[in-house]
Amino acid sequence: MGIVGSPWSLSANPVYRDSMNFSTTKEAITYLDSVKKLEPNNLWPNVDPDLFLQNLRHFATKPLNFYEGKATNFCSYSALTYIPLQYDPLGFSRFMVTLYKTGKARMGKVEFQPGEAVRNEAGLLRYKGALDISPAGQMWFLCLASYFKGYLNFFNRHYNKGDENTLWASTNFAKFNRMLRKLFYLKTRARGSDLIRPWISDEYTSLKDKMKDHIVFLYLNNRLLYKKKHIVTRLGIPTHYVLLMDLFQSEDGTINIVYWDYGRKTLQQLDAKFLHKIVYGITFCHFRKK
Amino acid sequence: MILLIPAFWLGSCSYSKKFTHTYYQENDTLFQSIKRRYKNLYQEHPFSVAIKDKSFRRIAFEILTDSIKYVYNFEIGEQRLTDTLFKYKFDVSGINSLLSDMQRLHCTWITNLDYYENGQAKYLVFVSIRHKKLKAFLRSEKYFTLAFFDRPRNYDIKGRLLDNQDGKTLQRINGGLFFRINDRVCYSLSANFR
Repeated sequence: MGIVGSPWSLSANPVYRDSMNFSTTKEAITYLDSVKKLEPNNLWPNVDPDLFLQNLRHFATKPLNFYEGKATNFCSYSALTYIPLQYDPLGFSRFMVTLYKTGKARMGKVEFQPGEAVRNEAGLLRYKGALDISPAGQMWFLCLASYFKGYLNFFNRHYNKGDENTLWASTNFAKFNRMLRKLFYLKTRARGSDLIRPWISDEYTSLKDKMKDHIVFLYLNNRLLYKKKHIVTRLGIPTHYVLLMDLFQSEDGTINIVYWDYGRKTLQQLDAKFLHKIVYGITFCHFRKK
Repeated sequence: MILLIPAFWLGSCSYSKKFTHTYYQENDTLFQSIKRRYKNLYQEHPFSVAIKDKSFRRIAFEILTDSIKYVYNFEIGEQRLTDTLFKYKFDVSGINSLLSDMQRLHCTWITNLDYYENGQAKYLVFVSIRHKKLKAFLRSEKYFTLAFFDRPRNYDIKGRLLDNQDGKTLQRINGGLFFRINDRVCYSLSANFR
């Protein structure tokens, strides 16, 4: 394992292709400039409209800085937000402005109309790092978490303060794939599950192959990838979603995985066995023809 | 005998309260030195370090840039670590000295954490300690985590860290409440080291 001679370029973003764009950053900024100013809205009493517009500009210009917050269960929502931010920043900006103005907005097949508890909480989340100063991000995460439900949310279906850290916000693999299918014009396929790893003999080759013409998300056992405790647990469960951005092998056979989460890309070096151990779900999708 | 068994059980289940009070005081100078050196090294080139094993030898070295975080695993003292530090233009002796002091203090994680006050980003140095005195029979392991602030902070009468923004709310760091050691340093016992 070593870093010297890494073929991965800092500016590279192999997942992204201009030709797949539905709109551009420039169009999004022009639209946000045309909005000029938003008035405070009682529907979102704790969202500062100026900061909200500033957030949307930041999302459009620096989509990879989009941040899910510390100690939240928003990783799945953050991972899938890569798609509108990267491929349709104008559509996402319009959606968010409509949501702010009217309290409801449509994305894909979903009509969002969040309840009072969620609307009142947006803008109040604190101690989450940069998410503290992103009321737009908070609105989006809370809307997604309140609309989409899976079996993990069965015992906590209604938002109460602090639920961003609880099962209320968590996402099982089927729910994640359902969100992608309902929100975006994507053809989505998935392998894996919440408890059993997908039956793939060579993850590296398979993922590398999928990445050629798909956007690839991974559902990972993050307790192994990003250790927070020293104890060794035998029970492995996946808890984290990331966007796979690149994968390449060093000369010594080490796998370099580049993924996106927490507002930045991360490069980690793993061996094939470890990669097999942490991957519980692979979702690969591509846009349907325009 | 009947009384002794529960007494033994309770004793074996509780962490040493003394530890949280004395460990920092006993190592105050070294902690302050680590914090100061880490901040200086961080300003030159942002990074975090996790120590991953019982013998405090294996580390995960995280190199932070604007767009990407590189996470590399090394053994302390191995040549690859030195090569990498050279490549990224780190102060190699400074980092090695920091790692050595982290080992001495049983420090498993050091990072620069951001938090927000009145919309402005502020930073604190966050350190986790793994110590055998924090292990207890039938209890999961805890970490002694320390937050070092640049400016004096306010605490409530129970010694809990207060949010500077309103002076009333209890501030959470990494989801946990923190307690006063002195006006710039506070601690928590946490299930996670980061």
